Amino acid sequence: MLNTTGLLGSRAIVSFAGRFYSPVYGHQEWRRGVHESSCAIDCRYVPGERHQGCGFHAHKRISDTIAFVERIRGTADCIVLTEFFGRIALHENGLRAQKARIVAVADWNPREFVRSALKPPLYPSYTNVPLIAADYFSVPMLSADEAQAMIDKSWAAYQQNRDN
Amino acid sequence: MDIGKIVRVIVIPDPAEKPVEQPILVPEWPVRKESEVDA
Repeated sequence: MLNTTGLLGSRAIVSFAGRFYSPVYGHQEWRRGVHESSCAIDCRYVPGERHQGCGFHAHKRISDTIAFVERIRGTADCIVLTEFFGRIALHENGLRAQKARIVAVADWNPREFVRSALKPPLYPSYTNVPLIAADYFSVPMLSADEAQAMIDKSWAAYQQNRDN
Repeated sequence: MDIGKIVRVIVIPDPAEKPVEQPILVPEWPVRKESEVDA
């Protein structure tokens, strides 16, 4: 299994021209290793409590990330298991964090559900974004259930440390 | 991404950031072991 010590969450990234970006904030490119976030309106700390925007966003449940990708029809997206460090704002359904590192890719391909509703020439079936992402970030591919189990385990470990 | 309302803010240390180690103090003169000290 993965060797992680931070809090885990799931989020979407989008493939474009052989590189990966945040689907909402397109200027955020994802590479291997740890990323540190900054605030566009100069919060003193990231993530700040002044507004609900800055920091790397993630869900606690992969099903929420899948619903998000389906809603935006993110045919070039994939879902990544991400580890978070530093200052972290915990939310009801996820988190915003100062530092993030992609540790695995979920084996879930949005083209499978979108392709049925759209014409095949627009969305060729041979492109498997999750496979490309796993290779790009040099991380394993996990089933959605395996990734969810790891997220749950990391949140339970955090809760246990907090209670002790 | 809808992640709901904020609950609390925590800090989880980045394992890559090692704590600052205590400097090793080197004496400015040679120190003899106790067995070497002249009686």
